[in-house]
Amino acid sequence: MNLNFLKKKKKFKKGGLGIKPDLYWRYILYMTFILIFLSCAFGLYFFIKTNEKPIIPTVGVNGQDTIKKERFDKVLEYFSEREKKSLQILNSPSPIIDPSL
Amino acid sequence: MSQLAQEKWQTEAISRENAKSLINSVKIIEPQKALLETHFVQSSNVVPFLDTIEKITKDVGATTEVVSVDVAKDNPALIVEMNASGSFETIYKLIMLLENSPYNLEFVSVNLKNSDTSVGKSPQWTATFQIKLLSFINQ
Repeated sequence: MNLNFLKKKKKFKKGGLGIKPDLYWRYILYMTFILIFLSCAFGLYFFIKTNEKPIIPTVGVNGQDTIKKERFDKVLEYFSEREKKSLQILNSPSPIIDPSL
Repeated sequence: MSQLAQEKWQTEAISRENAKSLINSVKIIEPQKALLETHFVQSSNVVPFLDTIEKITKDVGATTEVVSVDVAKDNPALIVEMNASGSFETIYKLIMLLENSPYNLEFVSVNLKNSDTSVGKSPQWTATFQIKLLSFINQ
């Protein structure tokens, strides 16, 4: 019995395969270069655009000082008091008697 | 030149830090902000305000009818004209409750009239209000 598949291949012929690795490698290389170039161009454009925008003058502005939680609580407490007062008005009789009586 | 660039960089770094601090502060007060916003009426949605008026009138037992809702020309305010009827007590309570409503209101005019004076019946009053909603955001 002849087992041919175990034999080492000694002869190699050029052009045996349909794929051309050299050509595809070039394509990949060109694409990579194009991508790098586009990334750089976009980065530069993005930087110019960002640099154009004026810087918000927040120097010397402290978030804690600008937005005080206590102020909010104070206003909300005021409305809460009003709500309580409304309930009192609703549950108590009118302090003024009907003038037509 | 280098010193100038460094100073500019430092200023920007401080600005960034402050902006971050500001964003954090806003996040902290987010629930309070949402609650506070309920006391303001946006021009795009005046329904909650009208619902509040309706609820108040139901609570006191009066009957009301909103005649007109207009945006004031001179300043950002909403002018509501409405008619109410009921006993003197209910009308009085209605006025008091409107004054104490969750919104900032100003009474432009109040016209009270005793409409029914028949003997044996409890006197009926009608009131015509013109109220100005000051906590109004016209967008």
